[in-house]
Amino acid sequence: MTKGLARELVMEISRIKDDPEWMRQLRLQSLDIYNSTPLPAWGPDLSGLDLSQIETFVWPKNKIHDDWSQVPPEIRDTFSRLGIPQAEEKFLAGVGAQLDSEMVYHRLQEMAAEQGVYYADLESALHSDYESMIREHFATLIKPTDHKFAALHTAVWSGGSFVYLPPGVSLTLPLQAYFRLNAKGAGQFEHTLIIVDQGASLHFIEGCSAPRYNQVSLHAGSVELFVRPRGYLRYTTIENWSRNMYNLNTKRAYVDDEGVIEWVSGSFGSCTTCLYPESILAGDKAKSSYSGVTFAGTGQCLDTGFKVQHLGRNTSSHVQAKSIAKGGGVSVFRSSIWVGDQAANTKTSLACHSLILDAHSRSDTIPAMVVNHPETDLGHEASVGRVSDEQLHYLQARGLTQQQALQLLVSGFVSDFTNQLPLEYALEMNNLLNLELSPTSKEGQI
Amino acid sequence: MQKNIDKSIIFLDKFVAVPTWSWLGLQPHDALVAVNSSATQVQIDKKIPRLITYRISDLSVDNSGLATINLQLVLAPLASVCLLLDFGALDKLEKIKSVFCCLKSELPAHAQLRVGICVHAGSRQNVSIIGQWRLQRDSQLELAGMYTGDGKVSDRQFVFLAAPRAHASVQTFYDSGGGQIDNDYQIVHASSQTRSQINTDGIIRTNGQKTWRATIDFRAGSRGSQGSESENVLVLGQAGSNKSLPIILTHEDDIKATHSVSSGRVSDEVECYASGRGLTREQIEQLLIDGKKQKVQGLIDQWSQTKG
Repeated sequence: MTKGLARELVMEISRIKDDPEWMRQLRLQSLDIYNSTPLPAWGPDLSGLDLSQIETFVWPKNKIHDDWSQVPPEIRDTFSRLGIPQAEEKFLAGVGAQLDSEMVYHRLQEMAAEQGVYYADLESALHSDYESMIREHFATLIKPTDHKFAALHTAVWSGGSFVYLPPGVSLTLPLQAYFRLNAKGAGQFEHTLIIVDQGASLHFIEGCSAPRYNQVSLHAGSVELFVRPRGYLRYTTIENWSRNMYNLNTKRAYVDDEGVIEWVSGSFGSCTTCLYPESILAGDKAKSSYSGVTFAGTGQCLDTGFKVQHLGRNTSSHVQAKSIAKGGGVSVFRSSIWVGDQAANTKTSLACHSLILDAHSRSDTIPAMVVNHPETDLGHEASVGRVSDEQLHYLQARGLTQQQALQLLVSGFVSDFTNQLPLEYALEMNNLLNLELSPTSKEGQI
Repeated sequence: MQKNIDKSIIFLDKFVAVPTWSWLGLQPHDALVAVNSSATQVQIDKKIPRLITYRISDLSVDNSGLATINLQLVLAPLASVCLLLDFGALDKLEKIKSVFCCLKSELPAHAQLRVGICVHAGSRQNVSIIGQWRLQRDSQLELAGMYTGDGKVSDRQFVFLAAPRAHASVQTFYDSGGGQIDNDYQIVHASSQTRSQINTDGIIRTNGQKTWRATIDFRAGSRGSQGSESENVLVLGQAGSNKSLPIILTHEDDIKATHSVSSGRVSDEVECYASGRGLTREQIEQLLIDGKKQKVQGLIDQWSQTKG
């Protein structure tokens, strides 16, 4: 176990991964930035996170496989319980599975490979013909100078996925990556880099979870998405971390002319989350949509939201966020809409609705809108409230228990979100919600 | 269940810097000066409604061109008073470079206070208005502000709803001209069944800059309270900066809170409808501006008729 962050460790990670020289230099530069960057002055309390006690790199014990039967039984069992192999059989075009710091499984179906789709773990991709493409894009959207955890990530990143869709390729089945952090008191710093070339189309699903320990863990991943002209990317995430986890993830998408990015994001678990996916609509007629649900239960502070920058002309964005707080949980929706001075005919709308299920919980809504071009149509609405007594009584009068009525109403509240998930995930999410709402269950973890 | 209500805040020495401001690169307000014991105290009893008016001629101006008003209203229970600050022709007085206005009052039970502020600042003038208000049971505060001209104007109001059924409303209008507008309204619901509204209509013109910050904070113990905040912006001209930060902080489940923001140019439908009835583009814009302005102007005109 290697705790904290020393220059020697960063060099050792780089050596183990046989990084190209440019990557090694980038890691070391990021380490310097990390050491000189203070913690953010806003947002949730991070005082419980002692970075010197976090195991930043879990030494690899297993090789990567492309057949579940070759994966060690104890690891295969973990992912089986999460339903990953079963989902792969049914409806996925490719799967990557990461345990702690390393990918343990990666496979792309033949039909996708035949279309020229490249999907591999990032380390393998760095040693393939795609190295120059990765070098051109890696850490350009999320620079190590962005914030302290972006610098930390770039210094010690390990694992993650690289996807490239050639021009015009439309992948009908989704790709999925699943990140599992099993090591006690460890950090996970996977990097996801996806490039959807001109006119291509992809649905990528990301899932995250971890078992519970009495020691805090850290997830500081990075997701960089590039959507080229007329490309389409839907990025779906269900994060269900254990409640000893600090989830400080950064996600950003760059969208060219007429490109489309759709974020579907469900945030559960973790003790503290700071997660604000961002779309940079750089091209003309680029579009972005975000649909997200956040559930904060006992002992949790989930600070989530969305950011969008309108830079091109005739761009549009739509944000639909729902949050639920229960059992003393704190849910914060924080968003930023920024319209540049060249972004003529921008259309943007933002709606956020919060439910507070008891008097001990807290819900904050912190949206910000900055408009620098007069030809902008901006609409924003938000509401905060509780489940209405009338609706509860109505359902109870028809034979439902109070708990069943509450679950039904909350399911309805988030239905805009679940409708956008593949069926299997929608069912799973409803189960997760019911588990969270159950008075006896404190944590919906596998 | 009865909760502990934070009664420690009487008046803040500083306005609270909402954390998201630094997240957005915005700075907390500068040069904040607490209303202190040197404020002029105006005693108002409950016998008759009172109208108090301050005009530009009432301002004391020092050698540097700074005009100040530092006012504390002391109201008796059940008192009803209207305070008007009429600086509508401020731009005509070039000797005034800046105006600093501090207002403060604790409204006792069942008291009613209406505050109307009109400012038309010239391009080289800075106006800073700070109000701190604490409301007791069943008291009511109404604020109406109208800010126009090419100057730099900031209006910061902090309202603390300390007791049940206190009610505060803020209704403002701004026309940025070529200047800067910085509005910051913070209302804290610290007791049950309190109500608040913040409604702002605004015009942003070429080179105008505006920051609108509105925060409604439902503290523990504010059960049964309601709050809403909204801003509606009409954009005219070519370039301007338009920042909106409507924030709701909620520590109670039994509350109702909403906020909304809209911003845009004159819609095609409105333009088509009005031009079909013979109006020019300029007339259509003026009609919309007048409509927005009238909401606040009407309130202030009505209050200025207060007998007393």
